[in-house]
Amino acid sequence: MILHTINKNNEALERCLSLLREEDAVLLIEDGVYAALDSEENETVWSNLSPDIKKYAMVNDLAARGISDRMLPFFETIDWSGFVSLSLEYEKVISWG
Amino acid sequence: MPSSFQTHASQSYLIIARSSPYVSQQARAALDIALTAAAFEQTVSIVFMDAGLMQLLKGQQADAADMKNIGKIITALKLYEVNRILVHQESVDKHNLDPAEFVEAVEVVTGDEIKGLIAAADQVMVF
Repeated sequence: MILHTINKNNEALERCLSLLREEDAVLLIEDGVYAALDSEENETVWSNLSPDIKKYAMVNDLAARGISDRMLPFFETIDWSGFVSLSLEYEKVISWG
Repeated sequence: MPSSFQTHASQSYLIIARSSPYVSQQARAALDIALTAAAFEQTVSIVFMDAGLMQLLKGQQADAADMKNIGKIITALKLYEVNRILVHQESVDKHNLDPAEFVEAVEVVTGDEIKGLIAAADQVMVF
């Protein structure tokens, strides 16, 4: 059970997703939240991922970038205290940059 | 001494090196951490993938970039008892590289094997 945090929307995201297990979770932070934007390309990425993998996005980072209302439906939004709770819930946290 | 390396039992580290050398400090940072953790008798594995494979190429002339030769640092990993030096099969195939021609002997592992290593390690760091 691993929490993977991703702070950019680039090929690191692609690599991270290729190495996930079903019990893992993904949290998009900083520029990583752009991967949650409602586009055909992003929708393909997330719909190909197992529904068992939990998907989170940082609410402050979405709001800052003006994309809170343009998100794909796969994500649960969390705030900083939610991030703290998740990092305690999972065995370890891996930061992909 | 308040060092977690000294007061805690040995931990296992998996370092994921996926940055190319010379464009940033990321490649060097991954190797420095691998060497440091191994020097403190931690169990360390390093896996090279994506552009990180370029760190393993022979013939790097780092002085042309005014930097230390990453390929030479990699040849020190075993001396410092870094346990396993691994490369990601799919990345090797994608870049059409031959692991036999790398600066150091490596184990070739698949993405599925890496998933297992990630799950088993106490600490995983991506550079």
